[in-house]
Formats: sequence, C-alpha cells, structure tokens
Amino acid sequence: MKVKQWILNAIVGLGALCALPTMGWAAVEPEAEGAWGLFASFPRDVSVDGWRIDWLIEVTMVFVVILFVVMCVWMFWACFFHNEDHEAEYDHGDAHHHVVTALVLSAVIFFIMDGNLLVNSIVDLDEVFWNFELAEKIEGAPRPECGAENSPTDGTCAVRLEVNARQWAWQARYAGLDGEFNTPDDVEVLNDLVVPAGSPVIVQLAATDVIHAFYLPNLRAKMDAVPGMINRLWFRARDEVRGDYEIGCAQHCGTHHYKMRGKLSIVSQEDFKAWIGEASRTASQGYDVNDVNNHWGWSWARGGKG
Amino acid sequence: MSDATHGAQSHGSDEIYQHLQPIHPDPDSFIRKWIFSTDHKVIAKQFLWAGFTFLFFGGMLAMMIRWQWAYPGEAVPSFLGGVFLEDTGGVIGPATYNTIFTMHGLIMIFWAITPLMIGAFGNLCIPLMIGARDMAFPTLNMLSFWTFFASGIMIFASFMVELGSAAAGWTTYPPLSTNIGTPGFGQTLVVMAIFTTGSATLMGAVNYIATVIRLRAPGMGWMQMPLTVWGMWLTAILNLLFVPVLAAGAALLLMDRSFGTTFFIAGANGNGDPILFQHLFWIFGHPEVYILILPVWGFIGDFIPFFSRKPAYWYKGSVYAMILVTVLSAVVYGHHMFWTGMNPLLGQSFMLLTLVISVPAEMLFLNWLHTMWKGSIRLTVPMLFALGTVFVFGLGGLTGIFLGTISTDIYLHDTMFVVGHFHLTMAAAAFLGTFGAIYFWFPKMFGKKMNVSLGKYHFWISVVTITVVFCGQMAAGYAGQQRRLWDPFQYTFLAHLADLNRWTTYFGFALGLGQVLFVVNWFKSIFAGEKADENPWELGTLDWTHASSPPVHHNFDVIPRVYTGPHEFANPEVKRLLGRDWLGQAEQLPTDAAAGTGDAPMADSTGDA
Amino acid sequence: MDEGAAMASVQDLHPVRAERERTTLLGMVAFIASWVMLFLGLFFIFAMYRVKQPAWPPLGVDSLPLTLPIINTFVIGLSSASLHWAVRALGAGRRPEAFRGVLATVALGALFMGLQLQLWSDVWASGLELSTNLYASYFYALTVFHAAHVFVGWSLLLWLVAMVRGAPQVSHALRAKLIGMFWHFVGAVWMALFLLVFP
Repeated sequence: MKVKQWILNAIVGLGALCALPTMGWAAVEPEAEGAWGLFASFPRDVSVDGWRIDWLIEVTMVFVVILFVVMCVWMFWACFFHNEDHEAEYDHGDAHHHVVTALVLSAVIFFIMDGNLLVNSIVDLDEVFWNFELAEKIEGAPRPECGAENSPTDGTCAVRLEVNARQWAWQARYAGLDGEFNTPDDVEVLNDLVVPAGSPVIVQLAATDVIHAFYLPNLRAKMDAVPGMINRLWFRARDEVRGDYEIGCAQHCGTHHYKMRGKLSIVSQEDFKAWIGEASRTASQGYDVNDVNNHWGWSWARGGKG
Repeated sequence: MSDATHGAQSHGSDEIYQHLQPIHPDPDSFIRKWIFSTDHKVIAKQFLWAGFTFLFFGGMLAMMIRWQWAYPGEAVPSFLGGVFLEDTGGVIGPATYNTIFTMHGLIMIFWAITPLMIGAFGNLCIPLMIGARDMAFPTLNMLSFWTFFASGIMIFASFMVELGSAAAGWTTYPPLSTNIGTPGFGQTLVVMAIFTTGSATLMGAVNYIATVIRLRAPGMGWMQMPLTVWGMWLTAILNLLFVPVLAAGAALLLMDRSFGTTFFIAGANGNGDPILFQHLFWIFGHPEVYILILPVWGFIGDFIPFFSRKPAYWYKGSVYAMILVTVLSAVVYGHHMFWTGMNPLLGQSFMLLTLVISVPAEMLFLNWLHTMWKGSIRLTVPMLFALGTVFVFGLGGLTGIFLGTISTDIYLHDTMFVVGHFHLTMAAAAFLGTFGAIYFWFPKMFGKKMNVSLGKYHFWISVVTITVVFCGQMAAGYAGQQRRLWDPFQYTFLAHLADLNRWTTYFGFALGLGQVLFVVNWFKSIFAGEKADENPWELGTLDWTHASSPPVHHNFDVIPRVYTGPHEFANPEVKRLLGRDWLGQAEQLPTDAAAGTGDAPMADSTGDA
Repeated sequence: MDEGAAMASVQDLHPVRAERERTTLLGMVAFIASWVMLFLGLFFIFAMYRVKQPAWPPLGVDSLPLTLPIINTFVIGLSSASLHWAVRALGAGRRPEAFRGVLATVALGALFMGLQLQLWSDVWASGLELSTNLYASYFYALTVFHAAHVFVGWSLLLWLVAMVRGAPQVSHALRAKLIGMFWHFVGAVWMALFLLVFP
C-alpha cells in the first residue's frame, strides 16, 4: 500500500520536474530558433539590452524552481513518513515562535526573490527601457543636432519611427532626409521595416481601429498600439546580428490577428543610410497631396519618461 | 446575535436561535421542491448540474482550441467537427476560432467555475458549516439561480444568431468589442448575459455575506468558522463590490454598441478612450481571479488538517492572509495594463503592490505544509485533490511573479506564458479544488459514497495531464508564442514549436478523456452507490456531526451550540476520554459537561479566547 | 394547529423580530454597497475622461443648463426629508402622518422625474444629442442611469402608499425603512452626480 503510494507520488513529482525544464533555463543563447526541439527556449536575442530581461527571468526561475522543489519534497516527505501509521502531533502552530518563524520565512523569501525582481526591474527600466534621453544620445559624443526635432535620419542619431497599426498591418513612417515628420519626403513602408544595427530606434505607436500590440520577440520589445494614444518604446540591435526578424501582433485584434506579421530588417549603418536616402528621394518625387490615406503621420510627440 | 452574545451567554438563551430560524414544513409540490426551491441544498445541486453542463461545453471548446494549435486548419474529427462545424466540413476558420476561445474563457469563468465553486458549494457549505437552517434570504437565493439560468440561455442563444457569438476575447476590450470589431448581435447578447449573470452573483453575494454575519450557530465566533466559510465569505465580499464595476463598464459598452456613443472608441471612429474600459475591467478582473481562488484556499485549508488529522497550523494566520489578499486584490489591477501606455510611476507602484501579494500567499503555503508535517496523513480522494491543488497552485503562483514585474513582463506579456500561468491558478487549481470538494461533500449531498479507486485514477490522470498542458503553454510562451493565434506557425520564429504544441494538445485530450472516469463514478454513485454514514470522514464540523446524509430540509432539528474550532484533532485529552482523535465543534468533553465549567472549554487550546 | 399558533406568536416577539429585521437591514446595506460601487465605476470613468480633456465643455459647445438641475437637487433633497419623516412616523405607529409623508415624497419624486424629462428635452433641443459628442453622451448616460434607479425607487414608494393605506401589519415599518434606505441612496447619488457633471 505504502509502496504503491510512494510510486505514484514519485511519478507525479517526476512529471512535474520534467514539465519545468520545458520552460527551459536555457542560459546560453541559442544560435537559431528550434535548437532545443521540444524544450522551449527564448528566441535569439539580437538586442543590446535584452539580456537584462533574459537574465532576470532566468535568475528568478532558479529561485522559483528551488522553492517549488522544496515545497514538493516537503509535501511528499510528509505524505510518506507522516502517514496514517504516524501519530499526529497536537499542535495549533500559533505559539509565538511559530508565528515569528512563518513571518520571517515569508519575509526572507519576499525580500530575496521579489526584492531582486523589484530592484532589477526598476534599475533596468530607469537605465534603459524607459530612458528615452539615453536613446536620443547614445553615441558617445552625439552631434549637436541629435535629439533635436529634426535630427538627421542617417543612422548617426537615434532613428525615429512612427508606427500606425491597423487591421491587419503595420504602417510605418520615417521622417526622411529632412528629419521632420508629415512632409513629402517621409518614407512610408508597410509591414517591412528597416533599421540600422547599433543605432537606437525610437518608435511612436498609434492605431487606427482597434488595440494592437507591437511585438519584436528577438529584440525583447513590446508595446500596445492604442487608438487615440501615442505610446512609445525604443530598442537597439547589436552590431553583428544583421538579418531579417519578425514583427508580431501580441494583442487580439480581430479575425486575422494571426496574420498581422511584419518583417524587421536589421542592416548596417551604411546600407541604412543608402536605403533611407534613396527611399526618401523616391517618396518626394511620388508625393501626392490628394492621397489622404497616406497622410496619417503626426508631428513627433515630445514627452518625459515612459 | 452580536459577537458579545456569541461569547458568553447561558444555554437558556439558545432558544432564541431556534426561533430566529423556525422550521418550515417541507414543500410538498414537485415544483416548489425541485424547481423553484428555496432550499439552499437544492439550489446548490441546481448550480452543480448547471455548472457541469457548462463545464462540459467550455471543455469541448478548449479541445477545439487545442486541436487548432496542433493541426491548424485541419478538420476537427468527432462530433465536434461533424455537428458544430458542419458548414465548413469541420474546419475551424479564423473568425470561428476567435469565437471559440472567447466563449471558452467566458463560459469557464462565469458559467462553469463560478456556479460550481461558489454557487454550488457556497450554498451547500455555508449554512451547514455554520449551523444555519437555510440562507438568510432563501427567496433571493432562488432568484439568484434562475437569473443565472436565464443568462445561460442567453449564452446558448448567442451561438444561434447571425455572425455567431462573442469574438473579442474574454476581456472584451473595446474598440474590438464594439461594432468596429464585432458587429454581430452575438457580442451584444453575451455582454448582456455577463450583466445578467453578474446580477445573479450579486444576489448570491448578499446572501452569503448576511448569512455568515447573522446566522452563525450560538458560540461560533469568527475564528471558529471553517476556512471554507471564510473563503466563501471573502469571495462574496469581492463579488459584491467589484462585479458592479464590471457592470458599469458593460453598460457603457452596450451604449457604444447599440446607441452610437463613442465612450470607448477612438482613432478613426471616435474620440473616446478605450483604456478607460480596461481600467474598469481590471478593477473588477483582478479581484475576480481571487474570487475564483479564495474558496479553493478555503477547501484546502480545511481538507489538509481534516486528513492530516492535525489542527490547522496557525489558523488565524491563514485567516489573516486570506483577508490581506482580499484587500490587496483591489489595488493591484494595474499589472494587467503595464503596456497600455501607463504612467511609469503608477506602473511601478502597481508592481510593488503586486509583489507584496506573495507575502500572504507564502504564509498560506507555509501553513498548509506545516499542517501536514507530523500529521497522520490519510490520502483520501479529497485529500489527494487538495494536495494536487497545492501543487498546481504553487506552480501557477510562482510563475506569476514574472508577470507582475514590469521589465520581465515586456517579454512575457500577452504570450502563452500568461495563458499557462493563469490557467494553473484559475483553472487547474479551481478545477482540482472543486473536484476535491465534490468528492468530499458527495456523501453529504446524496447520502451515497463515491467509488474510491475511480476517484484516485481520476485524480492522477487529471493532475498529471493538467500540469503538463499548462506547463506546455508556459513553455510556448517562454519561447515567445503570442496568445490567441489561429495559426501560430505562420511566424517563422514559432515554427519549431509545432511539436511542443502538438504534445500539449495530446495531454489536453487525455485530460478531457480522463473526465469520463468522473462522469462514470458520478452517475454510478448516485444511482448505485453504497449508503454513506452521517460522518464518513470522522470530522468535527457541524455539517458532518449534526446533519444527516443527506440533511433534512431544515438541516438541524436543534441548532447546536459551538464550543471549539473546526480542526480539533489529535488532542490527547479527547483521545483519553472519548477514544477518538477528533472533537466535534459542538461537543464538550464529558468532564467539562458534567462539571459545567463553562461554555468554551477548548478556548485556550484553539488559541481563541 | 396549536403548535403553529404558538410559533407564530413567538415570531412576533420583539427580540426575535428585531433580530430578523437586523438581518434584513444588513442585506439591504450590502445591496446598496454594491450599487455604490456601480456608480463609483461610472463616476471614475467620467472623471478620468474629463480630467484628460483640454477644455470642458469642449470648445464651441454650450454648458449644460444649471437651473433645472439645481431645482431638482432641492426637490430630491426635500423628498428624502419627507420620506424620513414618514418612515419615522410609521415606526411610531402614527399612520395618518406617515401617509401624508409618503404621499408628499411620491409627489416630489414625480416632480423630479418630470423636471428631468424637461431637462433632457431642453438639452436635446439645444443640439446636444446622445452621440453628438462625449460631453453629451456622458451627461445622458449618467443621468438616465440614475433616473432608472429613481423610477424603481418611485415604484416602490407607490407600493408603500398602498401599504400605509391598507390594514396595519407588523412588517410595514421594516419595509418602509428598506424603501427609505434605497430612496436616500438614490438621492445621495444625485448629489454626487450633480457636483460631478453640471459645474
């Protein structure tokens, strides 16, 4: 009887422990998607700062697994050794030292695990993810015009991008060579974004119809695109990771939500400069005042953090 | 019946309790007895049957979602494809898929878990465990069920109308949930159904709150209530206060849908603010997830001491923790909205408050584990389900901290990780906890025993498969898979997850099939089960010590006087005098009774002066 | 039969009845608490929307008229007072006085609803229709939602009139109290709504 119970307990324990690694504490960065087969891991991180998120998740995962294993062992141990043959202790667990022990244990777990999360998260947000001043001035000694209303769009300063989400596509707008939005030389693209490696990219997001979410899995970036609001995020691709990556929609936005897929090409600074110059010139030549559908941009919105 | 009256009055005054709840004659007509009954036990069973119906329905929808993720675009086999998707030859189209996952979520939350856990067991347990003859407002109770029933009809009807049922996700975010995204009448009908079932919940909540405050048996102080009652009571308070907030949002949403206003419509079609709806939704929605777990905490808080044959460890600590969670649940909702463009300072405050919730949760876990430690554990079916609940809730709770933290939530927000996490807490824990309660109170409800072997097989199959299914979802989310994708493998960075999703689906089907064991057990036990004793688990709470199985119409011939807490096990004195390891809540030790030393002889030992 | 009669008399004993009434009152308090949350939800949304607007009322839109709402505030305040008086009179067994009080409340309630209809038609005629802009939408949504509750309370008052006119029963005082609670609540919501929407 006891043996049978123990075996069953062990099966469940093993089942759970097998289930856990499927969440994969894949500390190493996989070279390509699918390296782990059935066992999932993060998509390849091509951003400069994504490691902060990955690191925090992985470290916390270790805490979580430890706590979970302790809990399971405790439960199984009790079930096995403190079974019906064991005489129960008459103890209400409300003596002073019991209460203190429980509170101290809870507090220790809270301060270590949650404290680590809280502190690191706030530091990461302040230093990077919500630090748009940094994004505007990231290249050591920025040229004076970087960060100004119409800083050059040649990859030497932060690249500014206006993205308008609609069912079911990503419209994006570059300021063009004049560095100013809503002018004839604005470069407009659909589902096909190009950014330079190494430069910060600041995105302002809006939506036409319903709520969408701009999601760059490989750059660890995500933000809701809400009608009537301008949200923003920024990211920076590492130098050595040129190639095509995916843009996804992360917020349910209707029938073809699953198809709202875009391409993000990370190119070298030179290639970007060439591409934006060419595209901007073509845009001004083909500019049509009467094509109101293409005049969805806004003058770049200024604001504090966040 | 103030607390003072509860404490120290002589037995003579107990008479007033008998008169406060007079014994009404049994109803004799079939309709009054079984249909429009005001008896809390009958209403509990009505909620139970209704809940099972919707659980089956919602479960089938889940199977269809899983099929879609394993074999996107292929025809669904079995009657699901043949009957429900006849038009398309069994193939789930993207629009149908949206309806399926939307209605799966709504049905499971409002029409399956809520009636099963709160409707059925709130109704059954509260009066029986606190020594009341019925709810405080029996007619309101009846009205609550029939209002719920009407909302259920609306749900079924919504599938019949043109363009089908709701498809904007269970969160019903506008503008998608306005005519811009979901123009059909189905979505309107479903929002109205939520409104209606919300009223039903409200009536139940008023009843539960008043019943627990006013109708506790003489001598039963707040700290002598079973934890199940505590869980139900706190849940009722959250329902009472926060369901109306959802109703406020739903009312304005209905105006947007039907009368051309633009409260929540912005962008090309209006100048309202869609985020305002999200505020209202999550002010309700976050308490809602605790609404769905507090009763389960109550169940396991009781079952673990019951079957460890040991007093609940730091009972008051568990109560305080549950109260703390109830309070905190109202002020953390912002973590659902980190990426809507929320003010950073506000976001960080919500992150801090969210992480603080882990403290009371840790207290509860420690209390459960300490209760088991040095106990004399009987792995009965309800106990197995309670431990399974601790197991899955542990997983679900621990994975929640990734989502409550802003920077890690950048990556995990709106992925399958979220889906796996909240299914482990809201679905797996609620599911296992409620099944534990079903196995536990079945003898009381029907006077029959359930088959133990079938119950154990049901448990093991359920706990293993449910863990793998939801961990599989978390794994997919960990790899970046978004929620609610008709075909996730359109994305090349997700293509390699096809195997993972398929295996998760197989376990999902096994979970669904495993429930056949329960259905067989249920019907077999009702019709041909062995007769159960009044107190088969040998426990001291009033439902087992003072009510027959099944209880008579008025529950208690004489409302008992309570002397001690609900988990009085392993007391050496009791063993010496009575020869058993438990003491009834309304029981005095022979010497005390003979000597007449007072009303609360166990007061010191329960730590409840 | 004797037993039943004995039980009925025990039911009417003061302490038993008082305890049962307290339970009922508690239920009503709980119900009203949930209704308070419903209106708080609406007010919260409205306030959030309003504070984000650069101008209120929006540029080029006339403010809502103030005269009728101010009169209505007095009307509903007065009706609360008269109902309070009536409920107390009924509790003390002074039924004729209670009757007059309830009747006055019914009249004031009707006046409130009449003025409200007048207000809506004035605003509508001035060009602010339900979906003209959100300024108007919120005005109609909040006031109509409130008026629906006034109507329910007013119907209960009619029931109370019938009760007070009919044969005296022990339960009447309690019912009057419950209806009174609901009516005061509706009045209080109007005060909040008035302060929030009209200025």
